[in-house]
Amino acid sequence: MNSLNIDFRDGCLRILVVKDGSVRYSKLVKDFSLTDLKSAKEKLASEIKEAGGKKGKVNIILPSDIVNHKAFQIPAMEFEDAKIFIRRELSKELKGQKFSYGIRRLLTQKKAKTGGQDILTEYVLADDSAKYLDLLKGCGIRPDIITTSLEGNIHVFNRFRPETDGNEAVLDIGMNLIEIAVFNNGRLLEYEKLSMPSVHDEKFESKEFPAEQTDKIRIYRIIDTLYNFIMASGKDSPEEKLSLLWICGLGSIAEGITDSISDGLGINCRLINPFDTEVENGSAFTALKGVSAISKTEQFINLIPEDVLAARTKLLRRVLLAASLSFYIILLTGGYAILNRTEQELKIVYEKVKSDQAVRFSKHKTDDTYSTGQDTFAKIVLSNRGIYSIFRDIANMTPPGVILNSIQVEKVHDVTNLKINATIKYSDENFKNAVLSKFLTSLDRSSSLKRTSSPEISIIHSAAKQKEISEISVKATYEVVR
Amino acid sequence: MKKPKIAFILVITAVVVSGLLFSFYVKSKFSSIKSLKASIEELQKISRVAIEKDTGEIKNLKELFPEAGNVTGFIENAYRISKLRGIKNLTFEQKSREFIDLGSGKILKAMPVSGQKPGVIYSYPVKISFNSNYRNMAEFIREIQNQDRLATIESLMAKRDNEYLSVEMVVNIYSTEGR
Repeated sequence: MNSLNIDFRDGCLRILVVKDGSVRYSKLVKDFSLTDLKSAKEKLASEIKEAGGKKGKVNIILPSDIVNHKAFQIPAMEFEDAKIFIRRELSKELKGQKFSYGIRRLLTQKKAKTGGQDILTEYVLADDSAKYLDLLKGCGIRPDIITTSLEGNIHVFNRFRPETDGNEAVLDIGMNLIEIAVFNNGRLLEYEKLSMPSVHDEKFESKEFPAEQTDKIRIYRIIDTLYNFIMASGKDSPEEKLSLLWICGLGSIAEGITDSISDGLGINCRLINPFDTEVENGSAFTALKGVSAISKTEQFINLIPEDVLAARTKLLRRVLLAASLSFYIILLTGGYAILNRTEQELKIVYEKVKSDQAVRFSKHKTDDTYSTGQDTFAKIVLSNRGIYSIFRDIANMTPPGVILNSIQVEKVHDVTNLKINATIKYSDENFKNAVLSKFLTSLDRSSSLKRTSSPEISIIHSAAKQKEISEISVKATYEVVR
Repeated sequence: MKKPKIAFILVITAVVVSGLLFSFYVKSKFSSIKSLKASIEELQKISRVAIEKDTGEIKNLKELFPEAGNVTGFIENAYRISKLRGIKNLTFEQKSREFIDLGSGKILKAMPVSGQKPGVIYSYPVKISFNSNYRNMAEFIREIQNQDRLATIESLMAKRDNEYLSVEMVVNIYSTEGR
């Protein structure tokens, strides 16, 4: 995720561009103020352009002089209730002035034991933040997060130092202020802003001294301010003693500052470098690096005025509603169109299949001889009789003594008739009767034949024949049934 | 404050009502599409079955009733069979062809005069005369009738003539085209 991070503190402009957690661009622009709004806008626009323009989210750290903080001691209650409570208190105090604010718990064991809680509130007047919002708007930027340096420092410190050696303090040293945040194992115990007289504000020698001397004077002032704070707040006591000091901010880039503070206060002092890679004046970008890592799902102080947030939410809601309605309408229209089209296509297919079938059937009826004349073909085939089986049956059923004279097969109107003409020669009447009976009975019993009339039996008279042998003629007619 | 609320309620009502109407529309269209698909499938199935049925039946019919008359082919085949079956004095006599009306199945002696393609099949009567014994006659007839092409025996007269039978028969073969 890309982010453009801008820090307006200390009359400077700090710009940090981060992509996927890695620093892509960092620049410290000195002498930036809103005294001349037009030139400030131009300068900011050109610096943003140089940084690659707005890509991803934009995070802003407001100047420390417009961000106020106040600690409240309130009874134990839910965080959201505490927020409402504090809002009421601040409203009373600011007498109707519009403001945006955020709270965080200071985790002091003392208060936890007594059932109360310490709440640190950071707030900014709407008039003050409006200047910066207008400035950013003029550069085409709508910030996602507007917060304080403390938020950024907490993020950085808790990430690289989740476990501390007793109480450790982060000193964000600016030009006129030192922000002190005291941590114990990831918990914020205390937060203070210490004013520090500017070197250039002093009437004496500063202007005459070379730069190295000015730096030394600044370091002494820092040490002096810190010493006074430690002594005044009891941080030298064994319970609240600070074991380690971590410095960052614009004032931390002065050479030899860590050693000087260590020597001056007798507490180990280290420079914070929040970057994995080499970044020029890296410690000055500590808060900005922390802010760049804030995720919207986390709890953090966002000082974007409520009316701006509400307007955004309203706009977002409207956009979402419009998008949802558009999607809904597209869905309905698309669904209607697709279903209609599918139905039309299917109707066309149905009509085509139906007409194809009708054409095919009518073609059968008119053009195709085989399809048209199926009944006639069937009639011809069925009327055909297998004659071989008839001859086989006749051969098997004709007893000895029967002489077949002729066999006639004739087809009349699809009926096949069989006429048999046979003679039986006999000398014994009983023999004749037996043979005749057997012959006719056999033919009658044939499953292939059905007698259609009574057999004609006639005696054949012949002059030449022997006296002992007689002859009869048998004529029988059958229908071939199978 | 009240106006946006009313507008929101109106929008939601419109969405719900249109959604309901659309769901009814979708339901009716789906059922229409489903029934159309079923009808198409049914029609296609009927067509497929009819084609398969027609193909099988027509294939059989084409074997029994070929398009070409080819009487010579039939005679050649019969002659070949007669040689195998010891048939003697075989003669063939081709009679004039007849027409069978496809609609009524009636036999027509002349081609009907019509502007359209005639709905007839052709019948070719062939008179076959020969001498043989009883068994060979039966086998000869069996083999003639066992060919792929339909041969119907219209008449047969087998008479005893000395040691052989004298046989005369008329066999009909058929074709769908007059060539």
